[in-house]
Parts: sequence; C-alpha cells; structure tokens
Amino acid sequence: MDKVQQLVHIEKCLNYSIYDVKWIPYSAKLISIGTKTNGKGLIEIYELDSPNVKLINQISCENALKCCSFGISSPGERHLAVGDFNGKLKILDLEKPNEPLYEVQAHSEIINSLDAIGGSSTLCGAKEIVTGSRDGSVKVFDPRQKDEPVACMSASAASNDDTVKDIRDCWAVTFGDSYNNVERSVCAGYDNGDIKLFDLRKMALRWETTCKNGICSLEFDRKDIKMNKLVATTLEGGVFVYDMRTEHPTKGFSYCSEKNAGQSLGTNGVIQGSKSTVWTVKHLPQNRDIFMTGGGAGSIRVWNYKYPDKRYKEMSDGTKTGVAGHLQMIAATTISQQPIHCFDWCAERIGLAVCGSFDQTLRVLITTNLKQF
Amino acid sequence: MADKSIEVQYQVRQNVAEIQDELRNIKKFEEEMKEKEQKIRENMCTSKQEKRVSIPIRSNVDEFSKFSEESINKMMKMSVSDEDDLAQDKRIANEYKERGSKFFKSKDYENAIKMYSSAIATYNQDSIYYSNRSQCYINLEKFSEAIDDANKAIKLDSKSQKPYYRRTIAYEKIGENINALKSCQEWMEVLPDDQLAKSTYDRIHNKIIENNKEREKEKIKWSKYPKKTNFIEKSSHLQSNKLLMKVPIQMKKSHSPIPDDIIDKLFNNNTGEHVAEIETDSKLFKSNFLQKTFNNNINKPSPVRSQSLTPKEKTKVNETNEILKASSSNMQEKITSEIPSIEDLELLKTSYKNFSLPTSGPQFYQSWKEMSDNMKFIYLKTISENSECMSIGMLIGAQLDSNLLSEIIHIIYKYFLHFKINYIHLLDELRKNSELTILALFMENDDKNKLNELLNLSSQDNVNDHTNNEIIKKIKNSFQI
Repeated sequence: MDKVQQLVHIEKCLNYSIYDVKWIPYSAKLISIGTKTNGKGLIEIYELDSPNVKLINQISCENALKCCSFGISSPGERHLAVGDFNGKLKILDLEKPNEPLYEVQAHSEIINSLDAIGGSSTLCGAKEIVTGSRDGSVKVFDPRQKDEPVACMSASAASNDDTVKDIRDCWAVTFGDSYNNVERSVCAGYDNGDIKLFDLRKMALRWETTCKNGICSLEFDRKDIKMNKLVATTLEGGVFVYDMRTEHPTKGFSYCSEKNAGQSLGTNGVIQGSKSTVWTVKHLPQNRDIFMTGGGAGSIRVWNYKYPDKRYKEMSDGTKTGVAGHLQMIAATTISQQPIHCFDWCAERIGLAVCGSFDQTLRVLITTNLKQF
Repeated sequence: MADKSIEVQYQVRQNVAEIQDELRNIKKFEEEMKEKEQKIRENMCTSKQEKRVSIPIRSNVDEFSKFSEESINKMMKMSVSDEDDLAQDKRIANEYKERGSKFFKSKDYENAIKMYSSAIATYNQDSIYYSNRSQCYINLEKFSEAIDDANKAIKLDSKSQKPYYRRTIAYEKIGENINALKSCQEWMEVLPDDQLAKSTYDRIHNKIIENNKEREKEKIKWSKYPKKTNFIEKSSHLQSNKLLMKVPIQMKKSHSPIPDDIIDKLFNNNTGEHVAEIETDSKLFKSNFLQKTFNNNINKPSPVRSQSLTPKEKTKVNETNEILKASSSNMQEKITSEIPSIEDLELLKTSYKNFSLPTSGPQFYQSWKEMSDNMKFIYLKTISENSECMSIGMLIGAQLDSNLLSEIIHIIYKYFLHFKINYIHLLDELRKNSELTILALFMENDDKNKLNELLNLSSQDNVNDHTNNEIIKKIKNSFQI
C-alpha cells in the first residue's frame, strides 16, 4: 500500500473570520464565507491559479454568515444557500447576488448548521434546505414555499420558564436516505449529545440516541442512497460511525468509535495534549468509505472504514442487529495551530480539498494515493 | 540497518516524485475545469431547463393527510367543555376554511376545494365557504359549479359583494353575457354604491354591443354570396305560344353503345328530371334482371320531352339528337364494313378466353352481351352446329325479347348470309320459341325486311328442297311476314 500524503498546496491569509468553505460544483473555484471585523457578512469567490488562488468576486451581506451549501444548485447554476447569525436563510445566485432568490427568517437565533439537497440528482426528490439553530428547532424549507417551513421539528413550546433551559441547541443537521422522490430523512445533533433521526415522509422521529458529548458535526456517507453509514463527531475527540443498514427495534443502530480523534499526532505518533474537539467530518465524494475529520488541534485525519464480514447478525429472539466495522486511519497531518472547523472535498479531482481554520487562513490541500482504496 | 535506510530513502524519493506529479497535474486540471465550466454555461443558456417531474411541496402533502379522519376525531374529542355543538362545528369548519385558504394561496385549488367542502359539510350556513369554493372553481375553469356555489353564497348572505362578482365573472367566461349582465344588475340593486359592480356592468354591456356588431357584419357577408337560381314556374297563360322547334329523333338501333360518360354529360341534371331505376332485389323478376344486364350495352335513348325547357336546355336536346344521329350512322357503316375471313373468325374462338358452350339462358346472355359482332357470329354458329348444346330457341327460352331477336337476325343477315351458311334451322329453332308470336308483332320493319330477304334467298337457292320450303313457310307464318 502506498503512503497517502497530505500536503498544503496553497495557503491564503484572509482578513476576516472564515466560517465555511465550499467548492463551486463543476469548476475549479471555491468560495469562503465569513464575517468581517465590522460584523458584516462576506462571500469571496476564488479561482485556483496555481500556485495561488485568485480572488474573483466579493459579495457583502448585512449579517454575519455562518454556513452555506450548494446542494440545491443544478449543474450550471450557482445557487448558494446561506444561513446567518440572525437566523435568516437566503438563497443567492452568485451571478446576481443582489437579488436573493429566496429569503426567509428561519429562526430567532443563529443558524448553526445548514444542509441542502435536490440540485444535482434528478430522482432524489424536491429541492430542500434544512437548518438547525440555537433555538433548538430544526426546520426544512422548500424554495417553492415562502415564509413557512415544510417541516419543523422543535422542542414543544412550554410556557414555564424552567423548561426553557432544557431546550438544547441544535449544532448539526444533515440530509440522508433520499433515494427516491418521496423518502428523505434529517439527522440532527444537539449540544447534549442527542442524535435524532427524523423521517420526513412519515413526519415522525425514527431513532434517537445520546452520546457522551455534544455533537459538532454529522454526515451520512451519501445523501441520495438508502442510508448506509452515519458519522458523528463530538467534543473531546470522539468519532462515531453508525451502521444504518440494520435497525434493531430496541438497540437501534450499532456503531464503532474512535477516541481522541481530534488531537494531532506528534512525533512517533504519540498523542499529546488535552482532548480536542473534532469539528467537522466530510466524506470523500469519490469513495464513500473514506472520510476526513478536522480536529481542534489543527490536525486533519483521513479515515477508511472497513466493513465487517457480515453486516448484521441474528439475535436469539429472531431480530437482526447491525454489526459495525472498524476504522483505519490512513493519514494524519497537522496543518495549523488553530482548529480546522470547515472543510470541503473537490468533487472534480480526487484528493483536492479546501479547508478553513480559526487563524483566518484558507488552505488548499492535496492528498495523494487515495485512488488505491 | 542498511536495508532500512535504503527503504527510507526510497520511500522519501517516491513521496517527492508523487508530489511533483500532483503539482504538475493540478495546472492541467485547472485549465480543464475552466473549459468544462464554459461548456456548461453555454448549455445552460441554449437549452431549456428541463421541467422536473413536479414533486409536491412536502408540507402540502402532509397538511392534507394531517387533516385525515383520525385527526378530526382527535380535535372533536379535544373540545372545550363549555362549548356547545354548534360552536364546535363552527370552529372546526373555520379550521377547514383556514386550511383551504392556505392551499388557495399556494395555488393548490384542488385541495382548497376539498377543504372548503369539508368546511361546508361540517357547517353549511356560512356563505364565505361557498363563495371561496366558487372562486376555486373559477380558477379551475369549472364555471357551472362556480355559479352554483355563488348562488348558494348569495342565498345565505345577500349583501356580500364577492359572490355576485364571482357569479358575474363565471357567466362571462362561459360566454353567457346576458346572464352575466343580469347577475350584475342584481348586484347593483343590492349594493348600489359598489364601484366594481358598475365597472363590471359597463364592461359586459360593451362586450354585448360589440358581439352584436360583429354578428351584423357577418350577416352582411352572407348576402354577398351569389343568389341561388330558382326554377321558373310560369302559368300556362304566360308561357309562350310559339311551337317549339321539332327535332326529328331517329330511332337507330345502335349496336355499339353510346358511352356512358356522354350520356351523363347530357343528362346531368340539366333537365331536372331523374330517371328512377326500379330496384328489384328478388331474382323472381328475372326478366327485368336480365333486361337490365342486357340493356347495359344497348341504350335506347328515350325521346326527350321538350315541353318545359329553356332555350339552353333545348339546344342540349338538339345536341343529344345530333350525337345519336352520328352514332347511328356509324352503325350503318359498320354493317357494310369488311368482315374478316372465316378462318380468322375461327381463330377468334380460340383466342376468346371464356368461350364455352352455354348450358343455360343466363349464361348465354352473359356471354352474348360482352361479345363483338364477329364473336357473336361464331358463338351462334357454334351453338347451332353443336349437337350437344341445346337449341337456340330452348336456350333463350322465355327470355327472348325484341332486342335479342333483332340482334340475332342482324347477325344472321350479316354473317351467315355472307359466308353462305345455312341458317334456316336456326330460324326454325327461333320460331319454336314461345315468345315469338308476341315479339313478331313488335318486330321492326327493318327486321322484317331482312328476314323476308333471308327467307326468299333461301327458298330461291333451294327450290327443290320441299322440307326446306315447308319450314320457310312456317317461319314466314310465325314471323307474319
């Protein structure tokens, strides 16, 4: 097996806080969104122009921007869904950024996380955006319906003040299981470690579980297939990989996990320092069993999931329970001193990626030899 | 140790090489991507965006299912204790109405109608539900239902503007402008200060006036068409006294038929007369049937009655007669034209496809009418000579008529005489035919002369043949010469 190397190809220092980076589909361009020091939001469009990135365009917004996605963009279109610090959701056409295609006051508080689906695949259903907010609610929006979400999963609004404290922030949302026009699921992770899986067709909670630490990031390995794997990353360096193919009536889904995944590997592979958060997880578009995690110590780790021989086993009472595989770490590099909290693989070229960190630096990475998996 | 260091070196070199490769390829990649992007952009501009299979907005699908029977029941159970039934019904109906309004806003009229219908089913005294539902029907172009609902709404609340407006619009859309106007008038009576009523009234009024104008124009158009000509029916005292020019019509027995198209041209409805053909399905009336088939060839043109003809038509009659004359003269020429030699005629027999001895009268007729003169001669000759075949008299039997008789005589005159073949026995056979006595009365002078000639010639030739003379005498008697 050849060694997988990861190296930083381009480093770009910026003068604002980066909150999200994304590749523009079907191009060698990327965008980074963030907040300027004056509190206004900013979207910058860069083009790869080795050995640099070239700034093409800058778009300013009134509110600080938190998260974005190109998920609803059809090939050729450049529709970006953006959530900001004030709870507003917008869909912008990057060609005409001044007129938002869709605008709605989604939440009363900051939109922590956002996911969009329906742009590229033709048979996976309508275009939808899901947002998770500090106000504890998860809302699904359809660009065709103004003002109202098509689905809302929120904690019951209780009148007593005591119960308000109990409403947990939603930190991560993701779409999945969207293998036809009707089926779709939303998975939401909360700051107390709750993971809840909602079925949008039945409009019901399908599964929930609790991890020891707050969920920072969630991702299904593929959004447009029947759900296969779900990766959840937590505070204090936990990575959990759930096998979503087999659901046990009481036990739910089985998982495998990694501890201390957020720390950087020092010399000789010795783990040092305190446990750090795993901020983000992203699956490789070209191979759904490879994913990377961005850690709080500025490290990036690339993992490969190995399936077990049998994915389920029969219990004594006849029910089936899933069997999780194990994770194999194929690369680990430390590229920054600050946490890597946003990351995106390029769908056009295997191994090419962009990441942003709290040190206001945009980095373009190359990973070699991923094709061998 | 050495091995390890070599390995390490090797590994490092490999790493570096790989990285160099990657960096080189990135440049290529960037350029490729630029091109791809361009292409996609162009495609976007030129091609139309494919319409996606319309997937319903998730909320609409669910809102309706939310309002399924179970949830209604739940809601019913949830009723506050001091509410009475009527108030509860109203509340539930209003809920339906709200849902319906939502659907209406998102232009989902089908579901809106369902919601309003449920509202009405729960509480049917509120005119708003009917009024709203009628608007939904209008949007779906179901105007008659819209009118019904609007009427119901007006019944429940006669002071509400919307049902009147909707009813007027619905009538207008289906084209019943007068009803629309009436509806509008009713509206203005109830709500005299309503500006919308006045403007709608004016608009419909103008429409009606314009429509009438158009119709007027169309009427004028019609009269520009050329007038239909009518027959002039003049009473007898107004008709002219002058004798109509008499056109001599000669009856010529034409053996070759006047072609059908000439007859069609001449008689093509210019006279207004229509010669009705007697349709007889039953083959009992054989004589008619055979006559018809036989008459296909020989068309005796009936004399054209020239009473009530306009001058134009008279000339046509003259034309007819001219044509007839011409054709008949042709006939005369033909008779004296060259007759081919008997060997040639015999050859005809072999060339003739369907030549077979007739075993019955109809067969004889069938063959006979299709034949040329030469062929007829051969046919007759063969029949008379062939002992197997029935005699001609028996063969034809009761179907013998004057046409056939004259033809046969003509053939005998023309061919048998020419080739000096004995024909007496043939004539004898004919004499024995049962119909002959009657037919002989109606024989033309022409035929009689021919026959006379034939018989005289025969008696002259065979002076001493007593039997022959006997037969001749008999023939003469029966033919009444």
